[in-house]
Amino acid sequence: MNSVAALCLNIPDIKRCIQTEEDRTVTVRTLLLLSLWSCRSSSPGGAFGYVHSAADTWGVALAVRLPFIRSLRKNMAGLELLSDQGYRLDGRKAAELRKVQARMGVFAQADGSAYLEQGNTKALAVVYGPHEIRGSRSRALHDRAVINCQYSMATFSTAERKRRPHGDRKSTEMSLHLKQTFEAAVMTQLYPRSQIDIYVKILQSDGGNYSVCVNAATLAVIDAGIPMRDYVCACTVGFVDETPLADLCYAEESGGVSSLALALLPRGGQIALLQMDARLHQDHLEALIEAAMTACKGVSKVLDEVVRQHLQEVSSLTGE
Amino acid sequence: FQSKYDKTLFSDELTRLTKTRSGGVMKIVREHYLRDDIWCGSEACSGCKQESTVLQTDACMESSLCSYPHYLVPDTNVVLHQIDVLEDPVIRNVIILQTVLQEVRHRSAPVYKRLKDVLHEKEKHFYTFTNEHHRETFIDREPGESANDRNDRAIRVAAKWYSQHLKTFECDKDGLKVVLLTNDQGNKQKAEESGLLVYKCEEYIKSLIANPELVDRLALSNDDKNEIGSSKVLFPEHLPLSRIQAGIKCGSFLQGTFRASRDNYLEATVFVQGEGDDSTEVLLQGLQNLNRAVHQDVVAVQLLPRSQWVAPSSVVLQDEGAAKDDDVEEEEEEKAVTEAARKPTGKVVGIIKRNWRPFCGMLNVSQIKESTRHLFTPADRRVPRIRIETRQASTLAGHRIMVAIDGWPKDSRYPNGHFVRSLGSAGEKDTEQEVLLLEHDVPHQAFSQAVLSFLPKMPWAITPEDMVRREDLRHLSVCSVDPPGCTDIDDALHCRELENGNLEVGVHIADVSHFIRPSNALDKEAASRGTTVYLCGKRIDMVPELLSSNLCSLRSNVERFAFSCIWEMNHKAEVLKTRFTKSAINSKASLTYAEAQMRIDDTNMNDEITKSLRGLNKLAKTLKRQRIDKGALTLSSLEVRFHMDSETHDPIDLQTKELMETNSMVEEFMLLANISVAQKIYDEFSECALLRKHPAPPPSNYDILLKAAKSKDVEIHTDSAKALADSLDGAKVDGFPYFNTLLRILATRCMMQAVYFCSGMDSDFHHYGLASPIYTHFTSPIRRYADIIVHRLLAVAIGADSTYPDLMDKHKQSALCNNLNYRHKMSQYAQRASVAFHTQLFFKSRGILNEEGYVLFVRKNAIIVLIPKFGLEGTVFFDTKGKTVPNLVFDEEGPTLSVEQHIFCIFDKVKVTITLDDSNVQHQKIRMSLIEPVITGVSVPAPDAEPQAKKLKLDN
Repeated sequence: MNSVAALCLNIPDIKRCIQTEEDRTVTVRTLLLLSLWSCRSSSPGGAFGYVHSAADTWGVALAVRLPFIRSLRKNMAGLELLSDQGYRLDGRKAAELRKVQARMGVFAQADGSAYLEQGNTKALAVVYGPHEIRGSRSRALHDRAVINCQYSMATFSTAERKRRPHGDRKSTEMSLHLKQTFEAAVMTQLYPRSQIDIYVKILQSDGGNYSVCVNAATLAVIDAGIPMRDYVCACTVGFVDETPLADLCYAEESGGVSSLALALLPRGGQIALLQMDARLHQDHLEALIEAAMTACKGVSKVLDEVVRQHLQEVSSLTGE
Repeated sequence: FQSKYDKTLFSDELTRLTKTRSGGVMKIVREHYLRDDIWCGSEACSGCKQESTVLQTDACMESSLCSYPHYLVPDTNVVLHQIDVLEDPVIRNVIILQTVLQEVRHRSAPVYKRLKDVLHEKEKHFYTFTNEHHRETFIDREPGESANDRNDRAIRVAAKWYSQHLKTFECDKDGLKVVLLTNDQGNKQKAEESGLLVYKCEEYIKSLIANPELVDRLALSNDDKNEIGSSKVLFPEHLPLSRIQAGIKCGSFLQGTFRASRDNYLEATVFVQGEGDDSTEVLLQGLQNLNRAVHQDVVAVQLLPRSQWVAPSSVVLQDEGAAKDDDVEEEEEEKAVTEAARKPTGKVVGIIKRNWRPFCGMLNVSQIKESTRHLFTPADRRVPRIRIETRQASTLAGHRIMVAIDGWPKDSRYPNGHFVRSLGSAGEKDTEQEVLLLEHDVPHQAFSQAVLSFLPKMPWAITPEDMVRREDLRHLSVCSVDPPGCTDIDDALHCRELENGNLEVGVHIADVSHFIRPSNALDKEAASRGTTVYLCGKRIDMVPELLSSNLCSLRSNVERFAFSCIWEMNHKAEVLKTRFTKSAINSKASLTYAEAQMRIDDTNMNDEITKSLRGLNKLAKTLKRQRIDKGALTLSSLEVRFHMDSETHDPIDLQTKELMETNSMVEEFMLLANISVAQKIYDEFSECALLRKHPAPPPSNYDILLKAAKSKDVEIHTDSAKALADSLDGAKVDGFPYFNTLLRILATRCMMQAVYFCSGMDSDFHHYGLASPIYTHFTSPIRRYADIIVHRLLAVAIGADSTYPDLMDKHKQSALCNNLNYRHKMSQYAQRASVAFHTQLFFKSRGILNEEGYVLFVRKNAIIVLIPKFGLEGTVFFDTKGKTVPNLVFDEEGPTLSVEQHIFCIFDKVKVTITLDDSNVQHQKIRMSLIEPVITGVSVPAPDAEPQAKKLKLDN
């Protein structure tokens, strides 16, 4: 049995793994936290052609920077992301989250399901399993369950209707990130030789898709009754005028902010996933991670409330 | 966490249909949170849980309309047009709504910046109310309502909310009220209907009891404009922007910058930037074709058919249409010009962007006594005269004033403007200084609170944390050598013998980058100022005085931070090792050049500092020789120093600056440090090092120098810097010791301007004048911003500091270089203008002087004479107005000019009398007239030498 401590990293460990550029800015492409097993078994990201350093003793796969495409995109819209009075475009203050609303058990036929809104981003998550391995049995792991994630976006999720074929680069990458996040959180060792399916669909997209998916999926996994080490809560943060902004909406994300996504197991403060595509100065990283952790803890409180309320409803229905 | 939001935030979805760039329609949905925790900012309010208040309880602006205390709520147009009024210290306690702020931001960047500055000023009590996110003041757009109407309504709703809010939560019943200011008739009416106190901006400002002069600062609003100017249409209508853009796209119009002619008010050129290097100039002639464009505007021009093309006229025409404004006859010029001289000619069809700034100048008081409309003549001749309305014409006459243009209607001969402020009476030193700073775009306002807030807290002392990354060099006997009276000491030196017999030489530069951290307000201000500007008797600092004259200045016997460049050299001045480090030093002496020289020469002195100075001096001589052997140029330009009267600050004497050995000693080591640093930062950051280059001048630049030398049978080689330096050294004429200096002065005029650039954007790094393959500025961070950037780069290179994104972005750096080059150029112009002004003052106090000088240039109708004693250059005209023009023959080959029988060549010795021509108050000039050689009808008899006696007295 691996203890949790061996699975997750804290900030100093992460800093050690981040590559510093010549100009002392950092680009964290994807810093993934995996259990030691998954490192041995699969090579995440290998399929996408970015280079991996060999998983080191910490069980961390550190992806080297891709030529970053979104490089410091100028504040094109010319919007003032943070006013002098400290209000953001939509009227929130820097550390405030969007309004989070969630329901669990929205579908009866699935083993677990949840619907979550974070502002205008809306996601539906469905969980099947644990069940026998479907398809090729060779994928089965003898000591734990395989987690299978699928991420998709509805054709109507953005302002322009757009057909989104399965298996495009972006959604495959997102699926992989979700998989890695949940492999770190779900107690897969309880279900050897079995499989857990997590399907997430974005119904409406307004920034922070990854985090909303993680949060929705957490509720669905709980709804399915699969044991987890802790809630996994995710949140994006951006960096504007020396201030970290929590939970970015689409206008902010596209406004040229360096944003960072973080998934956290809040109770132990362990980081399950950290991703940043833009450049950021090294000195600011710690502040940004701190802000992201605070935001994730905020999300976790809401999720906890939702779960408790759901339990109450369920128990009152069954008359217990 | 969440529960808190439920109380305070109410989400609301806003849906907008917006056109995308491709022309399609896109639906944009965004969230809009409404809050309960936005406070009103008033001191009087007990209902809001605010921590600090901005608006005062006794908001006293004495007004005959509003006798009670009140807050002002201006609408967007009032802010946009009347920012000059709002900036006045009298106007306080103003609520700027978020709606207004956003609209201003959208409409005009300069006004937005000024508004922000006002909002930051504590004494102004301006408060920003985030009404768009307040639960009770947010309104959504109604069907059929335009965006402007919606914003007007939002402003009214917010004003209404304020007045009710203040009524509810006031502790004492002193009747605090809110007054809405708007110039929009419809808006005003609606506001009155909903029971608001509302005034037009003019009404309100006129009602202010204490400050009647504020009225003049009001910009003219639209209905006022109609009164001014007759109904007859003088100019063709400007095309709307959409048609201009279409025209530019299809090639029928050209876009360019409008440049008015300095000499002829009816003529201008439009500089059209083409692809790459090919750019054309379009000539514009006649008021109709100029069509209300003002110097520096970006305009669209249409070319006239080829048959109407003209040649630029060589006539000097000044707009003299004094008070009888509208009936100036346009002077027809004879158009008998050869086909070849004709240039593409066009007319302005529309203005793409106005580049109006407040202009300095003087008022031409209207001849009608009671008239309130007057014409204003800007100091810059390229700017048209501006009609303003003022009641203080009599007080403003003879003053230098600033005026902003408000608009130029098509039926008005002149643009309409308003008075901004008075700078003081013309001819006074302070006023003129202000004018030349403004006209050269030198930022010289006091530093804002935001900037000052980033200064270190006093008392300041070095802490152990500071010393972690610094080397302690406080024990070294470091000293500084500077001109007398220098308070911003940015460099200090030391030299000591090492045990191995070599010498250790250290250049210690003030560590300004320790105090100015990247991208804070202080840094931004310094970057925008770019350089400290030294005028005669005044210094415009780039950084606040606390830094420039105290914490950064390497004064003696105090501990200061420095950035040190330390070499190990042998006695042949060959650098064996170079080391850079941040350090702390304690300068043992701050000397002047003369003092240092005395110590070196005085054989009795043998203390540490003197020994160190002697070592430095010896090395410097070797270094200089090496540098000259490599082909560095020694050029000459006369720099003048004024001796100022200690009380009146008037110049009493004028002297050319003397150079001592110690000057060159300090200079050598600074050059060495700059070159070492340039190499280091370029090695470390090949893409984004900030360097300085001095391009070699094109051969044609040397023509005048070659011709001049030839006239004295001296040959000058200009193939390379070294050849030039050698031949300048060899150029001597017997019995004419000053010849060499004159040649060097001429050579200086042939040179190109040295510029800053970013290494990633250029491939030619050579510094021609210093004959160095690479160069930068490192040694004066207190007075040059480029040095601060170089310090930061070097600090990163040696691991003493961290970077920030902008430092590594070559495009941003390149933009910064452009600004620095511009500021540098303008500061030099300002400096020259200041010297010129003080020279005028000096000659004004002196009366008439007779001096000897040399002919520096020969022109078609004049000679330019240099007077070495004062370093003064002046023109002797031979075709003065109202006099019979003597027989002038100009020979371009020489160049020579024969006047009657006498022939003038370059370097001729002449005697002139110097007077001050103050016939034009705005443009005073030094006038010279010839005494010797005597040419009948041209030269003047030598006036009395009576002022000489006066001079003797002053010298004692």
